[in-house]
Amino acid sequence: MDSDVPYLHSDIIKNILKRLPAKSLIRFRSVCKDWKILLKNSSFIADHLQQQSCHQIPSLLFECNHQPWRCCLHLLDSELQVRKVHSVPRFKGARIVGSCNGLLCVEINQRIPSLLSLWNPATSAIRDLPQGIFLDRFRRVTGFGFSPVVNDYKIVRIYSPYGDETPRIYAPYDDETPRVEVFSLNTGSWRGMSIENLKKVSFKSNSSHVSANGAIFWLGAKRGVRQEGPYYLVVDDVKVVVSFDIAQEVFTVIPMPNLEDHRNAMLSVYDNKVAIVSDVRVQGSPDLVDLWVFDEDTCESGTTWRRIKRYTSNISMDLTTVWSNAIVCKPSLYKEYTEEGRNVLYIINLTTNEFKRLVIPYCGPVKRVYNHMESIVSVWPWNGFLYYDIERELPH
Amino acid sequence: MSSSVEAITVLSSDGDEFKITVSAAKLSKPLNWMLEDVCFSDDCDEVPTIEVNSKTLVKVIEYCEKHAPRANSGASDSDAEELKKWDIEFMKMDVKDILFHILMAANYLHMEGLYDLACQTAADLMKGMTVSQIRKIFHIKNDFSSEEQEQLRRQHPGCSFD
Repeated sequence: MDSDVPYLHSDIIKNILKRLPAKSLIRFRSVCKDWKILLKNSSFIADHLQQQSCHQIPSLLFECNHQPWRCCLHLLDSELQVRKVHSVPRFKGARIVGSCNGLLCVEINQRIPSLLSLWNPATSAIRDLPQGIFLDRFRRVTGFGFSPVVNDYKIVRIYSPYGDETPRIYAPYDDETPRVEVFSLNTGSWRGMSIENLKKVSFKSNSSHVSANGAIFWLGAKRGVRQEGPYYLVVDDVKVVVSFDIAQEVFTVIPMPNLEDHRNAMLSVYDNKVAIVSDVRVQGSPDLVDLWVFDEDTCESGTTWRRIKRYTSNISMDLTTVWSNAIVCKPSLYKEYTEEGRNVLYIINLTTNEFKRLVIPYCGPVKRVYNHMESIVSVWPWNGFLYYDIERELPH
Repeated sequence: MSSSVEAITVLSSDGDEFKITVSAAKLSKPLNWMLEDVCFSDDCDEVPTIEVNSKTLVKVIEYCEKHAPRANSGASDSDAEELKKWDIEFMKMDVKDILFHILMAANYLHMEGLYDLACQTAADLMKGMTVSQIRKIFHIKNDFSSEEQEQLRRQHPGCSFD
Protein backbone atom coordinates (compact mmCIF):
# COMPACT_ATOMS: atom_id res chain seq x y z
CA MET A 1 0.00 0.00 0.00
CA ASP A 2 1.19 3.48 -0.89
CA SER A 3 0.62 4.83 2.57
CA ASP A 4 3.37 2.51 3.77
CA VAL A 5 5.98 4.31 1.74
CA PRO A 6 7.65 6.77 4.08
CA TYR A 7 8.46 10.37 3.24
CA LEU A 8 12.17 10.72 2.71
CA HIS A 9 14.22 13.53 4.16
CA SER A 10 15.45 16.00 1.54
CA ASP A 11 19.09 15.02 2.22
CA ILE A 12 18.28 11.44 1.29
CA ILE A 13 16.47 12.57 -1.86
CA LYS A 14 19.48 14.68 -2.86
CA ASN A 15 21.79 11.74 -2.28
CA ILE A 16 19.68 9.55 -4.54
CA LEU A 17 19.24 12.16 -7.26
CA LYS A 18 22.95 12.90 -7.59
CA ARG A 19 23.44 9.29 -8.72
CA LEU A 20 21.03 9.60 -11.63
CA PRO A 21 22.24 10.21 -15.17
CA ALA A 22 21.76 13.72 -16.57
CA LYS A 23 19.09 12.44 -18.95
CA SER A 24 16.81 11.31 -16.10
CA LEU A 25 17.39 14.49 -14.08
CA ILE A 26 16.35 16.66 -16.97
CA ARG A 27 13.12 14.70 -17.18
CA PHE A 28 12.57 15.03 -13.44
CA ARG A 29 12.72 18.84 -13.54
CA SER A 30 9.01 18.73 -14.19
CA VAL A 31 8.18 16.64 -11.11
CA CYS A 32 7.51 19.68 -8.91
CA LYS A 33 8.82 23.16 -8.14
CA ASP A 34 11.09 21.99 -5.33
CA TRP A 35 12.83 19.50 -7.57
CA LYS A 36 13.11 22.02 -10.38
CA ILE A 37 14.87 24.45 -8.03
CA LEU A 38 17.08 21.71 -6.58
CA LEU A 39 18.14 20.47 -10.02
CA LYS A 40 19.28 23.97 -10.95
CA ASN A 41 21.01 24.60 -7.64
CA SER A 42 24.72 25.13 -8.14
CA SER A 43 25.87 23.04 -5.19
CA PHE A 44 23.64 20.16 -6.26
CA ILE A 45 25.01 20.42 -9.82
CA ALA A 46 28.54 20.31 -8.40
CA ASP A 47 27.70 17.25 -6.25
CA HIS A 48 26.16 15.51 -9.24
CA LEU A 49 29.19 16.25 -11.40
CA GLN A 50 31.54 15.00 -8.69
CA GLN A 51 29.54 11.80 -8.25
CA GLN A 52 29.37 11.17 -11.99
CA SER A 53 33.07 11.81 -12.60
CA CYS A 54 34.10 9.50 -9.76
CA HIS A 55 31.76 6.64 -10.50
CA GLN A 56 30.84 6.78 -14.16
CA ILE A 57 32.86 6.19 -17.27
CA PRO A 58 32.43 9.16 -19.59
CA SER A 59 30.89 8.66 -22.99
CA LEU A 60 32.81 9.11 -26.19
CA LEU A 61 31.47 11.90 -28.34
CA PHE A 62 32.33 11.66 -31.99
CA GLU A 63 31.90 14.11 -34.74
CA CYS A 64 31.36 12.66 -38.17
CA ASN A 65 30.53 14.28 -41.42
CA HIS A 66 28.85 12.18 -43.99
CA GLN A 67 27.57 15.49 -45.30
CA PRO A 68 29.90 18.43 -45.42
CA TRP A 69 28.99 21.41 -43.24
CA ARG A 70 26.86 19.37 -40.93
CA CYS A 71 27.79 18.99 -37.31
CA CYS A 72 26.72 15.42 -36.72
CA LEU A 73 27.35 14.07 -33.23
CA HIS A 74 27.01 10.63 -31.71
CA LEU A 75 27.61 9.41 -28.17
CA LEU A 76 29.08 6.03 -27.41
CA ASP A 77 28.46 5.01 -23.80
CA SER A 78 30.47 2.62 -21.65
CA GLU A 79 28.19 -0.25 -22.66
CA LEU A 80 29.13 0.49 -26.29
CA GLN A 81 25.67 1.72 -27.20
CA VAL A 82 25.55 4.47 -29.80
CA ARG A 83 23.09 7.34 -29.55
CA LYS A 84 22.63 10.38 -31.76
CA VAL A 85 23.01 13.77 -30.10
CA HIS A 86 20.27 16.17 -31.10
CA SER A 87 22.06 18.95 -32.78
CA VAL A 88 20.78 22.43 -33.17
CA PRO A 89 20.14 23.96 -36.60
CA ARG A 90 22.27 26.98 -35.78
CA PHE A 91 25.28 24.75 -35.27
CA LYS A 92 25.28 23.85 -38.93
CA GLY A 93 28.85 24.08 -40.08
CA ALA A 94 30.10 24.40 -36.52
CA ARG A 95 33.19 22.80 -35.09
CA ILE A 96 33.60 21.51 -31.59
CA VAL A 97 36.55 23.20 -29.94
CA GLY A 98 36.51 21.35 -26.65
CA SER A 99 34.51 19.26 -24.22
CA CYS A 100 34.61 19.63 -20.44
CA ASN A 101 32.24 18.44 -17.68
CA GLY A 102 29.38 18.00 -20.13
CA LEU A 103 29.80 21.41 -21.73
CA LEU A 104 30.91 21.78 -25.32
CA CYS A 105 32.65 24.84 -26.66
CA VAL A 106 31.46 25.24 -30.25
CA GLU A 107 32.84 27.53 -32.93
CA ILE A 108 30.64 28.60 -35.82
CA ASN A 109 33.08 29.42 -38.55
CA GLN A 110 30.66 30.29 -41.28
CA ARG A 111 30.18 33.71 -39.85
CA ILE A 112 32.87 36.34 -39.94
CA PRO A 113 33.98 36.98 -37.32
CA SER A 114 33.35 33.50 -36.10
CA LEU A 115 31.08 32.95 -33.12
CA LEU A 116 31.85 30.90 -30.02
CA SER A 117 29.07 29.25 -28.04
CA LEU A 118 28.90 27.15 -24.92
CA TRP A 119 26.46 24.31 -25.27
CA ASN A 120 25.23 21.64 -22.90
CA PRO A 121 23.67 19.05 -25.23
CA ALA A 122 21.96 17.26 -22.32
CA THR A 123 20.07 20.31 -21.05
CA SER A 124 20.06 21.96 -24.52
CA ALA A 125 21.20 25.21 -22.94
CA ILE A 126 23.23 27.47 -25.19
CA ARG A 127 25.14 30.62 -24.40
CA ASP A 128 26.70 32.74 -27.14
CA LEU A 129 29.95 34.32 -26.08
CA PRO A 130 30.82 37.92 -26.81
CA GLN A 131 33.37 38.65 -29.51
CA GLY A 132 36.96 38.34 -28.46
CA ILE A 133 39.48 41.16 -28.43
CA PHE A 134 41.56 40.01 -31.35
CA LEU A 135 40.09 39.23 -34.73
CA ASP A 136 42.78 37.27 -36.49
CA ARG A 137 40.99 34.00 -37.08
CA PHE A 138 43.63 32.20 -39.12
CA ARG A 139 46.44 31.90 -36.67
CA ARG A 140 44.96 30.83 -33.46
CA VAL A 141 44.53 27.81 -31.27
CA THR A 142 41.76 27.52 -28.75
CA GLY A 143 41.46 25.67 -25.45
CA PHE A 144 38.60 25.05 -23.03
CA GLY A 145 38.79 23.77 -19.46
CA PHE A 146 37.67 23.96 -15.85
CA SER A 147 39.53 24.76 -12.65
CA PRO A 148 38.09 23.53 -9.36
CA VAL A 149 40.37 26.02 -7.57
CA VAL A 150 38.50 29.05 -8.89
CA ASN A 151 35.34 27.09 -9.80
CA ASP A 152 35.38 28.60 -13.26
CA TYR A 153 35.43 27.51 -16.88
CA LYS A 154 37.77 29.36 -19.18
CA ILE A 155 38.36 29.55 -22.92
CA VAL A 156 41.84 30.50 -24.06
CA ARG A 157 42.85 31.63 -27.53
CA ILE A 158 46.49 31.92 -28.45
CA TYR A 159 47.41 33.99 -31.50
CA SER A 160 50.74 32.68 -32.62
CA PRO A 161 52.65 34.92 -35.03
CA TYR A 162 53.89 31.95 -36.98
CA GLY A 163 50.72 31.34 -38.93
CA ASP A 164 48.88 28.35 -40.11
CA GLU A 165 51.24 25.55 -41.04
CA THR A 166 54.56 25.50 -39.32
CA PRO A 167 56.58 27.35 -41.92
CA ARG A 168 60.28 26.75 -42.21
CA ILE A 169 61.02 30.42 -42.55
CA TYR A 170 59.94 32.53 -39.64
CA ALA A 171 62.79 34.75 -38.75
CA PRO A 172 60.71 37.94 -39.00
CA TYR A 173 58.43 36.77 -36.21
CA ASP A 174 60.98 35.51 -33.74
CA ASP A 175 60.81 38.60 -31.57
CA GLU A 176 57.06 38.87 -31.55
CA THR A 177 55.24 38.03 -28.36
CA PRO A 178 52.14 35.91 -28.87
CA ARG A 179 48.88 37.49 -27.82
CA VAL A 180 46.49 35.55 -25.68
CA GLU A 181 42.87 36.19 -24.75
CA VAL A 182 41.02 34.44 -21.96
CA PHE A 183 37.27 34.21 -21.48
CA SER A 184 35.94 33.41 -18.02
CA LEU A 185 32.48 31.91 -17.74
CA ASN A 186 32.00 33.56 -14.34
CA THR A 187 32.90 37.10 -15.39
CA GLY A 188 31.42 36.72 -18.86
CA SER A 189 34.16 38.72 -20.54
CA TRP A 190 37.46 38.39 -22.41
CA ARG A 191 40.79 39.62 -21.15
CA GLY A 192 43.85 40.06 -23.32
CA MET A 193 47.49 39.53 -22.38
CA SER A 194 50.96 39.11 -23.84
CA ILE A 195 52.81 36.01 -22.89
CA GLU A 196 56.60 36.28 -22.89
CA ASN A 197 57.36 32.62 -22.41
CA LEU A 198 55.37 31.65 -25.49
CA LYS A 199 57.88 33.51 -27.66
CA LYS A 200 59.14 31.29 -30.49
CA VAL A 201 56.50 28.69 -29.79
CA SER A 202 54.34 27.66 -32.71
CA PHE A 203 51.16 25.66 -32.81
CA LYS A 204 49.48 23.85 -35.60
CA SER A 205 46.39 25.77 -36.52
CA ASN A 206 43.24 24.32 -34.96
CA SER A 207 45.32 21.72 -33.18
CA SER A 208 43.27 20.02 -30.52
CA HIS A 209 43.85 20.41 -26.82
CA VAL A 210 42.99 18.45 -23.70
CA SER A 211 42.18 19.61 -20.22
CA ALA A 212 42.89 17.85 -16.94
CA ASN A 213 43.36 18.88 -13.31
CA GLY A 214 42.66 22.54 -13.84
CA ALA A 215 44.97 22.98 -16.80
CA ILE A 216 44.73 23.02 -20.60
CA PHE A 217 47.40 21.43 -22.80
CA TRP A 218 48.42 21.83 -26.45
CA LEU A 219 51.11 20.33 -28.63
CA GLY A 220 53.53 22.84 -30.06
CA ALA A 221 57.06 23.36 -31.24
CA LYS A 222 59.73 25.61 -29.85
CA ARG A 223 62.10 27.28 -32.29
CA GLY A 224 65.60 25.96 -32.16
CA VAL A 225 68.79 27.85 -32.91
CA ARG A 226 68.61 29.55 -36.29
CA GLN A 227 71.07 28.36 -38.82
CA GLU A 228 72.57 31.28 -40.70
CA GLY A 229 71.75 31.21 -44.35
CA PRO A 230 69.89 33.05 -47.03
CA TYR A 231 66.55 31.72 -45.84
CA TYR A 232 67.24 31.44 -42.12
CA LEU A 233 66.53 27.77 -42.24
CA VAL A 234 65.80 26.36 -38.83
CA VAL A 235 66.86 22.80 -38.29
CA ASP A 236 66.27 21.95 -34.70
CA ASP A 237 62.73 22.66 -33.55
CA VAL A 238 61.91 21.02 -30.26
CA LYS A 239 58.51 19.51 -29.85
CA VAL A 240 56.83 20.70 -26.67
CA VAL A 241 53.63 20.54 -24.70
CA VAL A 242 52.28 23.92 -23.63
CA SER A 243 50.18 23.99 -20.50
CA PHE A 244 47.91 26.73 -19.19
CA ASP A 245 47.00 26.82 -15.52
CA ILE A 246 43.37 27.95 -15.54
CA ALA A 247 43.36 29.39 -12.01
CA GLN A 248 46.73 31.18 -12.14
CA GLU A 249 46.56 32.00 -15.88
CA VAL A 250 50.18 30.97 -16.30
CA PHE A 251 51.69 29.18 -19.29
CA THR A 252 54.41 26.55 -18.96
CA VAL A 253 56.39 24.95 -21.76
CA ILE A 254 57.12 21.28 -21.10
CA PRO A 255 59.53 19.25 -23.23
CA MET A 256 58.04 16.21 -24.96
CA PRO A 257 59.15 12.68 -24.15
CA ASN A 258 61.81 11.34 -26.44
CA LEU A 259 59.67 9.88 -29.19
CA GLU A 260 61.52 8.08 -31.91
CA ASP A 261 61.37 9.44 -35.43
CA HIS A 262 58.38 9.39 -37.74
CA ARG A 263 55.91 9.43 -34.95
CA ASN A 264 52.49 10.94 -34.80
CA ALA A 265 51.66 12.22 -31.35
CA MET A 266 48.28 12.92 -29.89
CA LEU A 267 47.47 14.57 -26.58
CA SER A 268 45.08 12.77 -24.29
CA VAL A 269 44.16 12.23 -20.66
CA TYR A 270 44.81 8.97 -18.85
CA ASP A 271 44.17 8.36 -15.18
CA ASN A 272 43.46 12.07 -14.75
CA LYS A 273 46.94 12.94 -16.05
CA VAL A 274 47.91 14.46 -19.33
CA ALA A 275 49.11 11.74 -21.68
CA ILE A 276 50.58 11.33 -25.15
CA VAL A 277 49.61 8.54 -27.48
CA SER A 278 52.10 8.09 -30.27
CA ASP A 279 52.51 5.65 -33.08
CA VAL A 280 55.30 4.65 -35.42
CA ARG A 281 54.86 3.17 -38.87
CA VAL A 282 57.65 1.44 -40.65
CA GLN A 283 57.00 -0.19 -43.99
CA GLY A 284 56.94 -3.93 -43.58
CA SER A 285 56.76 -4.10 -39.82
CA PRO A 286 53.73 -3.87 -37.53
CA ASP A 287 52.64 -0.49 -36.20
CA LEU A 288 53.55 0.40 -32.64
CA VAL A 289 51.31 2.40 -30.34
CA ASP A 290 52.81 3.93 -27.18
CA LEU A 291 51.15 5.60 -24.25
CA TRP A 292 53.08 8.13 -22.15
CA VAL A 293 51.82 9.88 -19.05
CA PHE A 294 53.13 13.03 -17.44
CA ASP A 295 53.94 12.64 -13.75
CA GLU A 296 54.32 15.96 -12.07
CA ASP A 297 55.84 14.48 -8.92
CA THR A 298 58.54 12.22 -10.29
CA CYS A 299 61.88 13.83 -9.65
CA GLU A 300 64.35 11.01 -8.93
CA SER A 301 65.08 10.16 -12.53
CA GLY A 302 64.55 13.69 -13.77
CA THR A 303 62.20 12.53 -16.48
CA THR A 304 58.61 13.45 -15.99
CA TRP A 305 57.23 11.44 -18.91
CA ARG A 306 56.75 7.74 -18.34
CA ARG A 307 55.92 5.25 -21.05
CA ILE A 308 53.37 2.92 -19.53
CA LYS A 309 52.23 0.94 -22.53
CA ARG A 310 53.44 -0.32 -25.88
CA TYR A 311 50.99 -2.04 -28.16
CA THR A 312 51.81 -3.77 -31.44
CA SER A 313 49.12 -3.58 -34.07
CA ASN A 314 48.70 -5.43 -37.33
CA ILE A 315 46.11 -3.01 -38.62
CA SER A 316 47.02 0.39 -39.86
CA MET A 317 45.05 2.99 -37.94
CA ASP A 318 44.94 6.60 -36.82
CA LEU A 319 44.97 7.42 -33.15
CA THR A 320 42.17 9.49 -31.79
CA THR A 321 42.12 9.53 -28.00
CA VAL A 322 42.32 7.67 -24.72
CA TRP A 323 38.90 6.73 -23.41
CA SER A 324 38.71 5.46 -19.85
CA ASN A 325 40.99 2.44 -19.98
CA ALA A 326 41.30 2.14 -23.73
CA ILE A 327 42.98 3.74 -26.71
CA VAL A 328 40.47 4.56 -29.42
CA CYS A 329 41.61 4.53 -33.04
CA LYS A 330 39.95 4.92 -36.40
CA PRO A 331 40.89 3.35 -39.71
CA SER A 332 43.69 5.15 -41.53
CA LEU A 333 42.72 8.14 -43.59
CA TYR A 334 43.18 6.33 -46.88
CA LYS A 335 40.34 4.03 -45.92
CA GLU A 336 37.96 6.93 -45.42
CA TYR A 337 35.86 6.13 -48.47
CA THR A 338 35.79 2.39 -47.98
CA GLU A 339 33.24 0.44 -45.98
CA GLU A 340 35.76 0.06 -43.14
CA GLY A 341 36.53 3.75 -43.00
CA ARG A 342 32.93 4.84 -42.91
CA ASN A 343 31.73 3.36 -39.67
CA VAL A 344 34.36 1.54 -37.72
CA LEU A 345 36.27 2.38 -34.55
CA TYR A 346 39.01 0.27 -32.97
CA ILE A 347 39.27 0.03 -29.21
CA ILE A 348 42.42 -1.27 -27.52
CA ASN A 349 41.90 -2.18 -23.88
CA LEU A 350 44.96 -1.07 -21.93
CA THR A 351 44.68 -3.70 -19.21
CA THR A 352 43.83 -6.79 -21.20
CA ASN A 353 45.34 -5.79 -24.58
CA GLU A 354 42.06 -6.88 -26.10
CA PHE A 355 41.44 -5.39 -29.54
CA LYS A 356 37.85 -4.62 -30.41
CA ARG A 357 36.44 -3.61 -33.79
CA LEU A 358 33.29 -1.62 -33.28
CA VAL A 359 30.82 -0.96 -36.06
CA ILE A 360 28.90 2.28 -35.62
CA PRO A 361 25.62 2.47 -37.48
CA TYR A 362 24.44 5.45 -39.56
CA CYS A 363 27.53 7.46 -39.37
CA GLY A 364 30.02 9.00 -41.74
CA PRO A 365 33.78 8.87 -41.33
CA VAL A 366 34.67 9.82 -37.80
CA LYS A 367 36.44 13.17 -37.74
CA ARG A 368 37.17 14.03 -34.13
CA VAL A 369 36.58 12.25 -30.87
CA TYR A 370 36.12 13.69 -27.36
CA ASN A 371 35.55 12.32 -23.90
CA HIS A 372 32.19 13.62 -22.79
CA MET A 373 30.52 13.25 -19.41
CA GLU A 374 26.84 14.12 -19.72
CA SER A 375 25.98 16.61 -16.99
CA ILE A 376 23.52 19.27 -15.95
CA VAL A 377 26.25 21.91 -15.61
CA SER A 378 24.94 25.35 -16.45
CA VAL A 379 26.43 27.48 -19.22
CA TRP A 380 25.87 30.48 -16.96
CA PRO A 381 28.06 31.44 -13.98
CA TRP A 382 27.75 28.96 -11.15
CA ASN A 383 26.79 31.70 -8.72
CA GLY A 384 24.68 33.57 -11.20
CA PHE A 385 21.43 32.96 -9.43
CA LEU A 386 19.57 35.44 -11.60
CA TYR A 387 20.38 33.55 -14.74
CA TYR A 388 18.75 30.29 -13.80
CA ASP A 389 15.44 30.88 -15.46
CA ILE A 390 16.53 32.67 -18.55
CA GLU A 391 18.06 29.73 -20.32
CA ARG A 392 17.80 30.42 -23.99
CA GLU A 393 14.76 29.22 -25.79
CA LEU A 394 15.80 27.14 -28.72
CA PRO A 395 15.03 28.49 -32.16
CA HIS A 396 13.29 25.92 -34.28
CA MET B 1 33.34 -17.27 29.78
CA SER B 2 35.03 -14.06 28.81
CA SER B 3 33.94 -10.91 30.52
CA SER B 4 33.06 -9.10 27.27
CA VAL B 5 29.60 -9.50 25.78
CA GLU B 6 29.39 -11.06 22.35
CA ALA B 7 25.85 -10.12 21.45
CA ILE B 8 23.46 -7.46 22.56
CA THR B 9 19.71 -7.25 22.53
CA VAL B 10 17.86 -4.31 21.07
CA LEU B 11 14.20 -3.48 20.66
CA SER B 12 12.61 -2.43 17.38
CA SER B 13 10.06 0.38 17.22
CA ASP B 14 7.38 -2.34 17.11
CA GLY B 15 8.67 -3.67 20.44
CA ASP B 16 10.25 -6.90 19.15
CA GLU B 17 13.57 -8.07 20.55
CA PHE B 18 16.55 -8.63 18.25
CA LYS B 19 20.03 -9.98 18.92
CA ILE B 20 22.96 -8.37 17.19
CA THR B 21 26.59 -9.33 17.64
CA VAL B 22 28.92 -6.68 18.98
CA SER B 23 31.15 -6.72 15.93
CA ALA B 24 28.12 -6.19 13.69
CA ALA B 25 26.77 -3.39 15.87
CA LYS B 26 30.08 -1.57 15.45
CA LEU B 27 29.12 -0.80 11.83
CA SER B 28 26.70 1.78 13.16
CA LYS B 29 28.02 4.80 15.05
CA PRO B 30 24.97 5.28 17.30
CA LEU B 31 24.96 1.57 18.19
CA ASN B 32 28.65 1.77 18.92
CA TRP B 33 28.08 4.68 21.29
CA MET B 34 25.34 2.68 22.94
CA LEU B 35 27.79 -0.15 23.45
CA GLU B 36 30.09 2.19 25.27
CA ASP B 37 27.45 3.98 27.30
CA VAL B 38 24.83 1.43 28.18
CA CYS B 39 25.43 -1.47 30.47
CA PHE B 40 24.78 -4.67 28.61
CA SER B 41 25.59 -7.12 31.35
CA ASP B 42 23.01 -9.62 32.53
CA ASP B 43 22.08 -7.80 35.68
CA CYS B 44 21.09 -4.70 33.68
CA ASP B 45 17.57 -5.06 32.36
CA GLU B 46 17.52 -1.95 30.24
CA VAL B 47 17.12 -2.88 26.56
CA PRO B 48 17.79 -0.03 24.14
CA THR B 49 15.17 0.75 21.51
CA ILE B 50 16.06 1.46 17.92
CA GLU B 51 13.52 3.58 16.05
CA VAL B 52 13.33 1.19 13.11
CA ASN B 53 10.44 -1.20 12.47
CA SER B 54 10.96 -4.96 12.85
CA LYS B 55 10.77 -5.81 9.15
CA THR B 56 13.49 -3.26 8.35
CA LEU B 57 15.61 -4.09 11.38
CA VAL B 58 15.83 -7.74 10.30
CA LYS B 59 17.32 -6.62 7.01
CA VAL B 60 19.66 -4.10 8.62
CA ILE B 61 20.98 -6.72 11.06
CA GLU B 62 21.39 -9.21 8.22
CA TYR B 63 23.51 -6.64 6.38
CA CYS B 64 25.58 -5.86 9.48
CA GLU B 65 26.31 -9.50 10.28
CA LYS B 66 27.41 -10.12 6.68
CA HIS B 67 29.65 -7.08 6.49
CA ALA B 68 31.07 -7.16 10.01
CA PRO B 69 33.92 -9.67 9.46
CA ARG B 70 35.22 -7.68 6.51
CA ALA B 71 34.85 -4.28 8.19
CA ASN B 72 36.69 -5.47 11.27
CA SER B 73 39.57 -7.39 9.75
CA GLY B 74 39.83 -6.30 6.13
CA ALA B 75 39.46 -8.93 3.46
CA SER B 76 40.98 -10.21 0.26
CA ASP B 77 39.80 -9.13 -3.17
CA SER B 78 37.90 -12.33 -3.72
CA ASP B 79 35.95 -11.71 -0.52
CA ALA B 80 35.18 -8.19 -1.69
CA GLU B 81 33.98 -9.58 -5.00
CA GLU B 82 31.76 -12.07 -3.22
CA LEU B 83 30.40 -9.39 -0.91
CA LYS B 84 29.52 -7.24 -3.91
CA LYS B 85 27.48 -10.07 -5.39
CA TRP B 86 25.80 -10.60 -2.05
CA ASP B 87 24.93 -6.87 -1.87
CA ILE B 88 23.25 -7.04 -5.27
CA GLU B 89 21.15 -10.01 -4.17
CA PHE B 90 20.41 -8.35 -0.85
CA MET B 91 19.14 -5.20 -2.54
CA LYS B 92 16.65 -6.98 -4.76
CA MET B 93 13.64 -5.46 -3.09
CA ASP B 94 10.67 -3.29 -3.88
CA VAL B 95 10.80 0.44 -3.31
CA LYS B 96 7.28 0.44 -1.91
CA ASP B 97 7.97 -2.54 0.23
CA ILE B 98 11.10 -1.80 2.17
CA LEU B 99 13.86 0.08 0.30
CA PHE B 100 12.82 3.51 1.58
CA HIS B 101 12.66 2.18 5.14
CA ILE B 102 16.17 0.82 4.76
CA LEU B 103 17.34 4.19 3.43
CA MET B 104 15.96 5.95 6.48
CA ALA B 105 17.32 3.35 8.86
CA ALA B 106 20.80 3.49 7.32
CA ASN B 107 20.74 7.27 7.50
CA TYR B 108 19.56 7.23 11.11
CA LEU B 109 22.05 4.57 12.17
CA HIS B 110 24.92 6.31 10.30
CA MET B 111 25.77 3.22 8.27
CA GLU B 112 27.67 4.65 5.34
CA GLY B 113 28.02 1.45 3.36
CA LEU B 114 24.37 0.48 3.54
CA TYR B 115 23.28 4.07 2.92
CA ASP B 116 25.35 4.33 -0.26
CA LEU B 117 24.14 0.96 -1.42
CA ALA B 118 20.49 1.81 -0.81
CA CYS B 119 20.79 5.24 -2.47
CA GLN B 120 22.39 3.65 -5.52
CA THR B 121 19.68 0.99 -5.67
CA ALA B 122 16.97 3.64 -5.49
CA ALA B 123 18.70 5.64 -8.23
CA ASP B 124 18.94 2.59 -10.47
CA LEU B 125 15.25 1.94 -10.00
CA MET B 126 14.29 5.56 -10.71
CA LYS B 127 16.44 5.94 -13.81
CA GLY B 128 13.79 4.79 -16.22
CA MET B 129 10.70 6.01 -14.37
CA THR B 130 8.23 8.53 -15.72
CA VAL B 131 7.52 11.78 -13.94
CA SER B 132 4.17 10.54 -12.62
CA GLN B 133 5.70 7.33 -11.27
CA ILE B 134 8.26 9.45 -9.41
CA ARG B 135 5.56 11.68 -7.96
CA LYS B 136 3.69 8.62 -6.75
CA ILE B 137 6.55 6.96 -4.88
CA PHE B 138 7.78 10.21 -3.34
CA HIS B 139 4.27 11.48 -2.47
CA ILE B 140 4.76 14.60 -4.54
CA LYS B 141 1.95 16.75 -5.93
CA ASN B 142 2.33 18.42 -9.30
CA ASP B 143 2.42 22.04 -8.14
CA PHE B 144 3.05 23.68 -11.51
CA SER B 145 0.28 25.88 -12.81
CA SER B 146 -0.81 25.24 -16.37
CA GLU B 147 1.01 28.42 -17.52
CA GLU B 148 4.21 27.22 -15.86
CA GLN B 149 3.86 23.83 -17.52
CA GLU B 150 3.39 25.56 -20.86
CA GLN B 151 6.48 27.70 -20.28
CA LEU B 152 8.58 24.69 -19.28
CA ARG B 153 7.43 22.84 -22.36
CA ARG B 154 8.49 25.73 -24.55
CA GLN B 155 11.89 26.01 -22.87
CA HIS B 156 12.59 22.31 -22.93
CA PRO B 157 10.84 20.68 -25.84
CA GLY B 158 10.08 17.08 -25.15
CA CYS B 159 9.62 17.58 -21.43
CA SER B 160 6.67 15.71 -20.04
CA PHE B 161 4.49 16.19 -17.01
CA ASP B 162 3.26 12.63 -16.81
